[in-house]
Amino acid sequence: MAVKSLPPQRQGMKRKTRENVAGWLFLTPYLISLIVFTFGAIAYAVYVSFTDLKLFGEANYVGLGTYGRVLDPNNPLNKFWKALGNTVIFSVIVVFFQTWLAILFAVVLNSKIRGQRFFRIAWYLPSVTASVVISLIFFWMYKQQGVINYALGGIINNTLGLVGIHFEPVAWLDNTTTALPAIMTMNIFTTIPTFMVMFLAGLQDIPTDIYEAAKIDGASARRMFWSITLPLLRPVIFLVTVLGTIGTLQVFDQIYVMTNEGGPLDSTLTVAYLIWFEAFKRNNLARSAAISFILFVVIFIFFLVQRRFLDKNATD
Amino acid sequence: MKKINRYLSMLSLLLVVAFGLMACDNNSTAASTPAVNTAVAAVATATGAPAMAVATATNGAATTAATATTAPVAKAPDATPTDVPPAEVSDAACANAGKVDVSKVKKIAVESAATLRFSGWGNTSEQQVTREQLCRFKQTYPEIKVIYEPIPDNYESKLKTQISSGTESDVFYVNPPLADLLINSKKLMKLNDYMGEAGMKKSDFFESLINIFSKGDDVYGLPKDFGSIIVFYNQDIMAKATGAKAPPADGNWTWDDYSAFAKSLVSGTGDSKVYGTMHQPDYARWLPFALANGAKVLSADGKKSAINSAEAKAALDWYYGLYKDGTAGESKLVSAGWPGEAFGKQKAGFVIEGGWMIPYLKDTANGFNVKWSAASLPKSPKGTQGDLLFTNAYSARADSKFPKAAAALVTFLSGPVNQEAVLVTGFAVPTLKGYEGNAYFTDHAAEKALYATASYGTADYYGPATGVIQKTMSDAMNALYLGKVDTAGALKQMEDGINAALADL
Repeated sequence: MAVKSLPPQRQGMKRKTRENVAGWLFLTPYLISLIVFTFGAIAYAVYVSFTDLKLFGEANYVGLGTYGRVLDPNNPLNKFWKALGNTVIFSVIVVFFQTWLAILFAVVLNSKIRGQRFFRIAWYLPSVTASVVISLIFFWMYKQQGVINYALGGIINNTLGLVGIHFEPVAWLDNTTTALPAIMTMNIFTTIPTFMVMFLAGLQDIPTDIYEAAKIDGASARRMFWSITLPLLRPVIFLVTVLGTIGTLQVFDQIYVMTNEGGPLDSTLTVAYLIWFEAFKRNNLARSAAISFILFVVIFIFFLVQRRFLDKNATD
Repeated sequence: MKKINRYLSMLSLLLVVAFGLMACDNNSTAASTPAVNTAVAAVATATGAPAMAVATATNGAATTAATATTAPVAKAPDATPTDVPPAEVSDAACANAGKVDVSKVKKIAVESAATLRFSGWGNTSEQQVTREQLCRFKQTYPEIKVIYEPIPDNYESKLKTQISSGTESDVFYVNPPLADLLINSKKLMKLNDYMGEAGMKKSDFFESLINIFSKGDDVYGLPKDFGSIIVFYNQDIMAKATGAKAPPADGNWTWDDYSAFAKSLVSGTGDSKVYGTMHQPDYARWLPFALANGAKVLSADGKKSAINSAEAKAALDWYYGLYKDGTAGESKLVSAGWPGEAFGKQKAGFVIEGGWMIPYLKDTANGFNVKWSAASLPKSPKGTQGDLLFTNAYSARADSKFPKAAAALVTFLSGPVNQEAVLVTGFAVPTLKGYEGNAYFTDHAAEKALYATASYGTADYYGPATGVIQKTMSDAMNALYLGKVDTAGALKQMEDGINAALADL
């Protein structure tokens, strides 16, 4: 045992170094793939965004030219601003509703109600289903002669119909005013459960004695929700809004599956879809990369704003 | 605030590193091309776009219609095709391939022990047609082994990714939007010498079709088949309608006759309404009428839009007018994915579609029972005919290991022996001239009308900006149908979009 024969001090140092080396060795495979496939690719994409590279073409340095073209509001082919507008609307509305509804569902499921386990499973199912599958199901439900129109028609025409209000079937995804809200509704439906589980965990972390103390002081259930539950859920709310914002600002697969290239009339075109569209349909890799980095900056700004308002530690 | 500053400094550090990389890399630009797709894919993942993970049809035509050459139609993401592993064609698949008279084929001297990979799109029934063509090739060139790798879905994206990494097949389909991209970046083999060896000339093909895949006299792809727009009408609906007069097969009728025919076939209201025809907000359905009326999409030098013309406006006013007054519908109004489906479900008296309708209506899996006939599109008020031609080509990769064998496959598949065999199966009409008198056409009116369009039709191809221009025109049609613009506004929108697309090249 060579190790044993070494003086105690040296042995300790050596072990530390050895542990370090072992640690780095364990990390190496991951680090290599991280550097090559993530940092390397990102760095190359930064470079590409400052060129005019097209598919199978040559890259010529054009400075901020590509960014200028992507942001130029006067070019009739430029869809970035339209896409950004759609994406921000999508994100703000979806995050707002999904966060509040997830809190609401979590609070309901956290209380002692009959069939609690059934509801937990039933409400969680949508989020373990692949988004492409859900998108396809909703695609058919939203059709002119689909389930949604059938249900709405049945309900409205049999009730309000008596006072003369009639429901006309709508092709939800073929209409510029209804297409994006239709996809937002679906997105809210599918993401609530994941966040609901986070809130459930958060709720269970709140010590019950606070509620008991409040009860003794005569606080109402509503008061306890606003003054105890919400403030103590703040870290979870921060996490959920940040995750929700990042996810919604990158919405892609629903658009890809449910719409015809972000149609009708680009009313469902999002930035992430535009990134894909520029690269794979328009062969313009430079623009695609440039839009990617603009989206990165947008997400970063959103994150900073949320951090300012929601993360208690950051505002100190 | 301190933490925010730290984040901002991290961001600027990242940008500095990026600029540094840029400065180093600026001189060695061309070498990096193969890495491009990986990088962009990685960015897409970093920003959360699962570009590769989604498997749904974007081009509705490719999936809805069992078709050789498809026109753009409304999207219907049903029937997502399943992946088929690459394989050599089995003997079982060759049962109906027919016997090739090898003496009629002028063979190219090929490399010994050549193995080729061959890719194309197509649903199950098109794949079977393709396999039979490969069977005929095998009879002719038994010394060449061909591995068929169908790409039923997302063909363009997949092909671009393969080419980026140099893993594309030796022979593959090329559509017009890809043609300029691949020819200009020297990804396709020049075929002229091999065509000569195989006894074929550029002029054997219809000019408007082969010119898409050529640069001057240099040919880089041979048109495999073509589609165009004709009238398919329902004989039962016509028999029940009062005053309906069947259109003449030879196209000797007018826009007024067409309107009257459509109006006579309308019946019912609400959910049970049967429309006279389907006028989709799709440039590819309106443009044939505009072209017949003398309209042009591009100026003669191809540098400017010519779409905003009186001829185009007359056609658009008339086309949209029939929709506006309820004579014509669009497929979504009857919950159909595309007009062919509306026609199959007997929700339209006639539709203006292409050859892809024929196998689609025949396919028992669709459960249609329509007695139909076909006729050419009407003549314009100027008395002239016009149509829009859709085509695709077989091309070989420029750096194929077996260039002669690859050229043999391309020339055989697009050659007269194979194209005639395909014609007889009723799958597609030839891109070669001189079949007008073919016996097959005597009792196949639809195919005859389709083949005839090649002599007066215009190819659906607008140079390197083809894809952008097609979308620009369809966007303007959609804006018109959604009431955002009038017909003049739609044409102005097309003009501006096309000019911007051409300036953007």
